[in-house]
Amino acid sequence: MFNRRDAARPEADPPRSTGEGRHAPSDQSMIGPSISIEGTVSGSGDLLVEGEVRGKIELKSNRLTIGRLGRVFADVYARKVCVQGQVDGQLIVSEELEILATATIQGTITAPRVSLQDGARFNGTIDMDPASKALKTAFASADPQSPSASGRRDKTGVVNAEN
Amino acid sequence: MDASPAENGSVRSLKAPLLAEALQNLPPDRRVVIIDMGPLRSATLKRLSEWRCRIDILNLWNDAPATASSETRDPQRIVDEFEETLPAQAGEQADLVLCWTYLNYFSIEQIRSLMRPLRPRLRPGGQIHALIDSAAGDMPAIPRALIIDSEWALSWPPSEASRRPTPRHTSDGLQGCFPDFTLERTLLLANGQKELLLTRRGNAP
Repeated sequence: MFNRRDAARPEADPPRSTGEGRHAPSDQSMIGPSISIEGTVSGSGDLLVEGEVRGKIELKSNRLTIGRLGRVFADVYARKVCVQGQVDGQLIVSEELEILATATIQGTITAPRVSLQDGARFNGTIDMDPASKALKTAFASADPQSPSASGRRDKTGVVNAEN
Repeated sequence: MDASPAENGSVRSLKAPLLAEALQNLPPDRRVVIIDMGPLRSATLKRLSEWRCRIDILNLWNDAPATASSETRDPQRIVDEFEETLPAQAGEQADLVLCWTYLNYFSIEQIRSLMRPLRPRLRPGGQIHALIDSAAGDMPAIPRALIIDSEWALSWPPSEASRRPTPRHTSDGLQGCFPDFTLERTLLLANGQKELLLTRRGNAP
């Protein structure tokens, strides 16, 4: 009937959720259930959060998975995000956000593509405009070739945390 | 009548011509803002993602800050706490409010209170699409979980909730809750519900 934006959309990557009960790829770091971090988490590798993070997560060229046990009270900047746990804050995602049925999200979502399983709880705003100001501002320097694209880069893909 | 209920498995589906009209009125070439009074639903999100849009999810009934079950929520408490649960407006006014069956669950005075903080959030020319139970004697005790399905009709699963009498709000009574709006059209649907499409007066940008 309407089909206004489909033609302009890139193909989605195959599903690659890596939360509880699934295999994590070898280049993915993990914040375990017993870990709590306050401050900024940044890096150049993928990250699975099953613990608690308060502050900011910057993985502008990478994928973040907030597992079923994960609790994120932070502003998040990432290329792709999968939420299975709890988020309170801004989620700014340059490519795709996947919200699973177990997720609880309060806050503002900015992502050009959002996929959702019914059952997820969400209150707030979803901005799916690929030309949104928030997206442009957040990812203005997120060229993967740029050293500034994903915070403090290192060659090993280790995720850094700083207070 | 161009709307007819249809069974599709266990899911009911209903064509809603005024909803289709409201969606057609959304400009395809600019960013639009939509307020959904209901909970976030994947099918609706998928349909609305065809526009460059921002969607404010209010989840008016299900996430009301109350300890009671959804069938025993106190509408007055929802009204009292409504304004503080609204997401930040962020300098933008809405083009469309999806109100659907929520008006059935509040008194005329409560609807007037709900609309007070919502009115300035709509731009002149912005529209409200609502459904009221009109002909039927009763309705589910909690609002139906409506979605916009792949055929651009409204669908909902069968309700297991108990029933309650319909309030039988009149169009005139409802119109009084929207003082800055023109009731563009009403349409009686085949299942006894009535569609309403209201437009905020003033010069559209």
